[in-house]
Amino acid sequence: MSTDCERLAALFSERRRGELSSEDARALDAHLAGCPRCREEAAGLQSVLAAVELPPVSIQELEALQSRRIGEGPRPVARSGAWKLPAVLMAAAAAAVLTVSVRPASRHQAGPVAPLETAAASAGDELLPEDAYSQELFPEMTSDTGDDGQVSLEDDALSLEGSGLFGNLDG
Amino acid sequence: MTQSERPRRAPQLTLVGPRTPSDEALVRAHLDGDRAAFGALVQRHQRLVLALVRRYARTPDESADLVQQSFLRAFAAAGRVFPRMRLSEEGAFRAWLLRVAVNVGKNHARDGRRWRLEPVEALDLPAAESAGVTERLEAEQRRRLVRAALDALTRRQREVFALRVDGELPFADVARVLGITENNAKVHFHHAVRRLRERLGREVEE
Ligand SMILES: [Zn+2]
Repeated sequence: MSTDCERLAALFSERRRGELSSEDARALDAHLAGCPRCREEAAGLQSVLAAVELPPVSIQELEALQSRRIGEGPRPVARSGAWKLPAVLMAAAAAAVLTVSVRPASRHQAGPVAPLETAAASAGDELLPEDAYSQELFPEMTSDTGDDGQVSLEDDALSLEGSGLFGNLDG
Repeated sequence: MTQSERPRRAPQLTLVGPRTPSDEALVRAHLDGDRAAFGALVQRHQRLVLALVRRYARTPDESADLVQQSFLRAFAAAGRVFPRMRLSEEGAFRAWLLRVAVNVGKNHARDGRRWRLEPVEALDLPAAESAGVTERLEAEQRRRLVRAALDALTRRQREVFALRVDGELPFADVARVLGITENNAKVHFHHAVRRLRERLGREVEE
């Protein structure tokens, strides 16, 4: 088993997105020609790659994002939890600021990205004051996978540390 | 700080050349109390963060929630994490933010078992759209299966998968964000896709 066998899905993914040089593409074909095991896997991997892609970002998603005005920052949240303003106000305010350059509207007809249900989606997600967040984020040190599979950001900090983004030079 | 109106591009093109000011300079400015710095960082990265969280959202509004949450969480850790982060290193902030975003999506899915239980009736379809209902339901069903399959990946596999498939980053960039080699990123990706295939099985091969 060569390393190419273990990168097969990645190579398909690159080919799918036109990222393979013609040289690499030839190498891939050559590998497939000579490796029955990869040939056998090829179709399955490719259909998974096709099936897991999301439709392109929709105008509605971009508008929802813009109208949230996230860039106005965390300060109000720490005080009142009111950063997320009522939708009506937001919409009005956002109309003026909407400077998104959307990838052209030619995109998929074939169905809105996000399924329709709107109500209550975020009812339980009231934003918390900053320090409540910190509490929630860094309760104790937790292991990578708790019982519930939750991942804590402390782990992120640790693994980023491990990856050399913090103090340790390792690269 | 001015909102220099840099045209936003598709998420996959996010890591190009040096930016002025750098993310890290903006983070420092933010920590020094410059409120505009946060906005500039959001402006710069929100499209990519959206790409990373939207798989776990059912509505555009919920996607926006998750983007907001990602920035909040990334910055909530500011006092703790950023001082230790090597802000002289280009990409440190972005790497942090993107990994937070990947995990915000994942945690949302865990918290919100809601969406797995969505009854069909809850999909309140406007009449105009009822034509495509079947397709939509099938698409939604497939999305659920994929999310459930993603749940079974290791954390590293899920990160690589999300950055590559949802974030559309080149593998070299995926590797940079995760602090691993490009080859390593590709191997993780391969195993992620194989594992998804085992889980999704014939669902994707009809
Ligand atoms: Zn092979």
